[in-house]
Amino acid sequence: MNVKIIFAVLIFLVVINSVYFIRMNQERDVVDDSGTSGPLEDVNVSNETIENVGPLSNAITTSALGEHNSRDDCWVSFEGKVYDITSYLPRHPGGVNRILNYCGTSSGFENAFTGQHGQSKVSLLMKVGVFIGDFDVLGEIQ
Amino acid sequence: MNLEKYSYPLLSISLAVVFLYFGFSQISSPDDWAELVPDFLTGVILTANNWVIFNGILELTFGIFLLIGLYSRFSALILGIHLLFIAFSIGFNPVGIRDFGLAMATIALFLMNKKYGVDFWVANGKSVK
Repeated sequence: MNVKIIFAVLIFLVVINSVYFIRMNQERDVVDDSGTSGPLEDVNVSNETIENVGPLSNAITTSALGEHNSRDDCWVSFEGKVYDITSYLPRHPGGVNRILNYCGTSSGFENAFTGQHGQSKVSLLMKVGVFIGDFDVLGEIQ
Repeated sequence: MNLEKYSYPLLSISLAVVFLYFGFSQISSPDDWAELVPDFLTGVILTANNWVIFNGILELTFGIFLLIGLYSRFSALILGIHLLFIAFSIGFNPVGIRDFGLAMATIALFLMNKKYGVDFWVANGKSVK
């Protein structure tokens, strides 16, 4: 019995230490990455390079947003901001198809997202999505 | 040829690999899993990401236990109930149904009440062949 308890404690400690080192390494990588390149320079998004993207300089129109509506190129608009979530699609725990229908949409995605998650996953969306620019709401109304 | 003796280790190791894979995935990429944290847990004691990491630690620890046959019955019960809870929280969709099946297989391990690996070795005082 004692041997099993010792084994169990050792395994638990190994797991805890492994998790600690994995998390520490990842946080260090994030710090290193943020130190080498600015977030607004040469952002490679869905096979096209946007140089010096500024949040107010490239408002995304409805038609431009609608062009990014596939599994390989998925932009969505949420609360007036456009995000590229292409890289997140295959990692979506609920499956790709739950999002795919809303690629290239603004209100469609927003309604589906808040309907499913409320406000609890907004920070996750902003973390996994690559910010493209502001959504041209006026263009949509006109 | 009697293949029955391989059934328990086969099921146990296979399920352990599943839990180890997803446990490691939760540790290395908690952002990807934070969406699955139920709303009533988000922000309670831990953030969604930390719940994912906590869950990953649990799955890794008991996954290793299941792999080497250490407290395998207890581990199967904990993992089975845990996965059953996840399956019901996900709901009636392909992911939820898959998790329900895995949870039932893990609970079946608990019900089998057999020993292998470390449990067998300790109980019989000899190495497993």
